[in-house]
Amino acid sequence: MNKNYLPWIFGIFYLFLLAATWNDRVDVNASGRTILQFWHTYNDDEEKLLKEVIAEWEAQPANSNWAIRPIRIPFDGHKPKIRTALTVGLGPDFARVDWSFVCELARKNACVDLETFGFSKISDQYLSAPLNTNRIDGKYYGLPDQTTCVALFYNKTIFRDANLDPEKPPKTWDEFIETAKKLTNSEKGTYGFGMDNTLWWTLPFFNTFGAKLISDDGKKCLLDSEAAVKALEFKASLFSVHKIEAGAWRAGAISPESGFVNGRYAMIFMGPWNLPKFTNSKLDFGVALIPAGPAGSSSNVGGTNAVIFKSSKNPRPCYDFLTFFTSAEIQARWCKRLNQMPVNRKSYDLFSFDDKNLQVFMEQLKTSVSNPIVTSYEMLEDVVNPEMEAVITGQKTAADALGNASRKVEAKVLSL
Amino acid sequence: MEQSSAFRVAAFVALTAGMVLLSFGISGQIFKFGSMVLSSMTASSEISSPTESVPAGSSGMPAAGNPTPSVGGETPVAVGSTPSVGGETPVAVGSTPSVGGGTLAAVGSKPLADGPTPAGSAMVLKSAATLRMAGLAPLANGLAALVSLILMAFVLRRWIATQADLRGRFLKTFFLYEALSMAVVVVLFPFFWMLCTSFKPSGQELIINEANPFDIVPNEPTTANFLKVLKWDKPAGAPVEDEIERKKNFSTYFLNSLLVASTAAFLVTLFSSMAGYVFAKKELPYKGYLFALLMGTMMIPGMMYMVPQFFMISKMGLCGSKLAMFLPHLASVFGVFMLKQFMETIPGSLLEAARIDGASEWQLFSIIIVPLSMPILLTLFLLTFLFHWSNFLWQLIVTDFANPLSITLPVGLALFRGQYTSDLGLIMSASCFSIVPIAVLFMIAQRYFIEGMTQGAVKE
Repeated sequence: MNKNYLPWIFGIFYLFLLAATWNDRVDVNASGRTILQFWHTYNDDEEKLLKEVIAEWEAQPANSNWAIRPIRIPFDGHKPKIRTALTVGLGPDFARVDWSFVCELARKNACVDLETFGFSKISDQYLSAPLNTNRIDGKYYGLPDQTTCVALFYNKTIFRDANLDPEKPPKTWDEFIETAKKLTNSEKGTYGFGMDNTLWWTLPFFNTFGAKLISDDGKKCLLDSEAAVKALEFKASLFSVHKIEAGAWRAGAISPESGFVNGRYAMIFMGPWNLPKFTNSKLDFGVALIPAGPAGSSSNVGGTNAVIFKSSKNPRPCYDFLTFFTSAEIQARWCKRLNQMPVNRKSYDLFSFDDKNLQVFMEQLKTSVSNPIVTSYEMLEDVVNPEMEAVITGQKTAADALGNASRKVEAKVLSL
Repeated sequence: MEQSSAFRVAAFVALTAGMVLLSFGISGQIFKFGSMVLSSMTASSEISSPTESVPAGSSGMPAAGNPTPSVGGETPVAVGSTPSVGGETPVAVGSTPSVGGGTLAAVGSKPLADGPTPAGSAMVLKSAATLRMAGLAPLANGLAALVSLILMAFVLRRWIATQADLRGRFLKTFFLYEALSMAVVVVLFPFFWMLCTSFKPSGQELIINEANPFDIVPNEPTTANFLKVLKWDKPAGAPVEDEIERKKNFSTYFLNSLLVASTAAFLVTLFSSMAGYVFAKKELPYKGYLFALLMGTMMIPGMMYMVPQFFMISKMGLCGSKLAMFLPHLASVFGVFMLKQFMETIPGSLLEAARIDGASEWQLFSIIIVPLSMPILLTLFLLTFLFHWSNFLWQLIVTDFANPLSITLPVGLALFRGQYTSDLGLIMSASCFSIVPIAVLFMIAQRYFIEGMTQGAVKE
């Protein structure tokens, strides 16, 4: 008998739970304005500032009919969320999406060609690398709202220990190899360099060698070009020939981020998003431009773009807001306050960071090259990554691997 | 004989040494963890009053789910002007722009001269906790050594008391205990890592103690992650948020998930038990074919159903409601299969006897079938609860993010992950709460499992 109390406890607890969560609606007062839903993936601080910008925009007399409702969705999962919502007509008016998602949305006829609003008149004001991630089949289907890239992070303490000047990071790939050799001590488990081996992280190599991966018309894969082969050969040689790379790309190895924080890898490629973490970890580090190759210093592009959906009944005010949001003044304020890279060229004249590391990223972005634009970037990575790993592990030559990858990309990715 | 005796002594010494190392390592980490929690809590209570006078708008931990190196606060101000944040200096609020973030210690907006700030307070908290922990370190080490000594003395006493011819058996048992202890450590290590990481400030989650990689308890603990997750990090003077912002917190997500998972688990178990009973004990035309057809649906990946199910839910106008979170999953073929297999083992004579005594169909089900199937019913309840407690994708697509009251725990946790970064400290501190219901359910259900199994064994 004494065990019969449990169902009662559960029952009472359940009723309590039901009462606590019964009401599942929150009313939002739109003050009689037409609501424009904006799905975004900003974090707390960004969202706070976004709301300020929205309030400013809504306060302008020309926008008195509109109320923008920012709705935060997790970045992890924003693609399936948007895909399914659009399928049943429950999508937002406009959204902030990963740079690689714009192509899929455009080719599936989900978002608006910005030329409808005369975007070409203002397109020059955006940095070309992030802007071009929105250029699909010759048209712009989105505009960049946040951008980033990777640069070379180096551990100043390890530089000092190896009697190298911590204020003089390598500027070319030759210097890079020379420096990394001095920083490598495989017996102690410290290496000059730790790298990832996915396509996105390899783009700085391809870009510094001047390799273009997809043709402008998006129909031909150029991975088997001479420049691309040389770039991959060079990257592989860091591990297999020069022995300065730790094998951080291998499954189960210490990741570049962890290895750098723990003083195992003296240099890594990393983006500005980890500056706060590295600073908090009390690491004495510096940031430098990606070492220059035959095509100079260059990097990849990350970040997000904003798109307007065709299902929106009011695309024009969405566009107006986005141009306001990415205007030079707003971008300058946004980036200064949040330590981010502006997407608007004119913003670079309006402010500068006091932090030297951030200045490097601003510099790096000017020479960054747009990423390959394909309908499914994930599939592109899935096809190319194993081939690149086969080169580093010595199973294939760079020419064979990239030739093979090129054929697969044309058959599987470019045909989508 | 002498050789065998010498071998036993050598084995005993080796096992004892292993035991001392293991017990010292485990108890050392446990006591260090205890001192860390104690230090964090007491330091946290000490600073509660300074934070009350924080200027409005100056809060703001760098966000979770942060794709950018942003910091909170209107004007990012570093704690200290060097990359080092939150060092040994108790209070050092500098004024240079910072890229620092992630810990309460790195956030602030005004110099200390203007009055206490979150940065200042957090700095005090961090330093106080660190210093207190350093003070407690000898005690923790001493206690760990004491535990090891007591264990060693205990084992030695038993060894001496054991007759020479029984010492081989003693050694086997000793080895078994030590091996099992190692297994326990391996199993519990991820949970311990989760607990420890939840107390680590941002930027230090991945730092490994080179001298002792197994020493994972942070030396500079912070409760900032817990405060942030529970939204208790807002200073008293902060502007009042709108209703939506107020509801966007971990406890809302937690309660939502609890309701969704428990309702789904109860209903799935109820419906599956009814269907299982029919398939196991009742006669109906084409029963075998029908069951095979149901089993066939298990071959189709769940992802295939997702869009049609979402279409139906949206057409029913249920998007964003809690009902939408589990309605399409109430018919569980796996549950029906599992319960049918178990119910088939219940003797039909029991049902016949009940029928002769005048039991109705409902009484047969509720008085005979359900009590006898309790272990398997509880198993299905637990499995279903677990599935819905961690079901990310479906809950993500039916969630109405405009309404935080529809956000559940797995989806809420995803908000801590960004484009390129994950705030491990926040995720781990949220995970500490999220495993509680599962652990409680397992602890309660475990007793019933054993009870049910024993009953079944006796009956058959």
